[in-house]
Amino acid sequence: MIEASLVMLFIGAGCFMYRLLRGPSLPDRVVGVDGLLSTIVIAIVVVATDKHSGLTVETVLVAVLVGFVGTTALSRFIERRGD
Amino acid sequence: MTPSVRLPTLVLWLTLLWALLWGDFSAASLLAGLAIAIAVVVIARPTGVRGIQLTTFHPVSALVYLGYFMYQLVKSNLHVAWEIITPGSKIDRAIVAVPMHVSTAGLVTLVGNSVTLTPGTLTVDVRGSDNDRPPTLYIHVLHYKDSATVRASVYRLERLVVKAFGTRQQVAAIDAAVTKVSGDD
Amino acid sequence: MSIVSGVFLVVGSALAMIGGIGTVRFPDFLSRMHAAAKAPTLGLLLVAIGAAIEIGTEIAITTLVLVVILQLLSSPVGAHALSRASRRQVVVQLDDVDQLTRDEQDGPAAD
Repeated sequence: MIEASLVMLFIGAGCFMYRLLRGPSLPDRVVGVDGLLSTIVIAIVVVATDKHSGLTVETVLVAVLVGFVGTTALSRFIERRGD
Repeated sequence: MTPSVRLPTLVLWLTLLWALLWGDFSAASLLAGLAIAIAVVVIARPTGVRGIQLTTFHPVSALVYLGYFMYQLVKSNLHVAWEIITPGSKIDRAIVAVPMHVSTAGLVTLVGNSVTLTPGTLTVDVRGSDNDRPPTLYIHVLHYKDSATVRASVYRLERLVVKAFGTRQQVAAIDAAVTKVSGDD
Repeated sequence: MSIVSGVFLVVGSALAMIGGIGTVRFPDFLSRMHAAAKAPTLGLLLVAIGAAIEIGTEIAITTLVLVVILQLLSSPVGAHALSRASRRQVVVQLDDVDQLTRDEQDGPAAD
């Protein structure tokens, strides 16, 4: 079960990375980053479940907040920069 | 008639965060969280946020909203999943203007967020929120049939949000307006 | 690892994978935003349920509840911020009406 989840998450992360590297425009790349971070968050929770560790989940808190701040900051940057 | 409670939402939200962070819901922890929340709000008064504070709360309607929202969230993802898996999906993209009925920033924000998480819709822009008239949401849809269907689903959400978090006048106003809209279209 | 929590984990991860595939397959920016904002959010919700069932300690459950609440609040806001900021930079391909550009040019119409 865990292996299946991790494989799928790996594929998903790979797709987001593809969008990050390929995405013809900057906003496409930000979509990739945002999805990538969400996938990483899910992966941390899956690993925490595997280890039965409630404390590992605490790191997810930080990841979610950082992801949100990062995406919003990038959005402001895009808005100001006028590519 | 569901009872409505006036709450200082920000203080309660901070207290809840405190309790969740420490994983401790005992009376001592909650009191400490409450004290800290009040201190924080008093010291760092949120500036320039007129109308952001949602101060009414109808518990039953809030649960209905939450249930509907969860159901839509699941449905939207099954929808998107299906689209991605079946090849050659025909998408018909459009941006539709949906004028709101309420002006409270907090309520409009909730509606906008809920719309993003429902099937096939994404809130792209909000205009006209600087004056006191109700703003207009601009929704990007993947399958466009006509503006009325898009608006109907957004209004359904708006109605649930207002019933859960709006003042009594807002609830009455939106009930009147929505029945009128669905009558004409 | 109980079957129930395993199923939640697998379905949640599958959703994240589907979200990723969506961002690759959809033809333009706004559609990709649809996939990237909705799928991982629900995926996290399901995985969190599975984790809560499996780990079961009080600290894990309260932290997971907090994480889910934060993600549900922040994901749509981030998507909206990005979509709104990118309208100028990205060619928005639409197949049908575009009432936003219409309203920008002519002023809000009484539609």
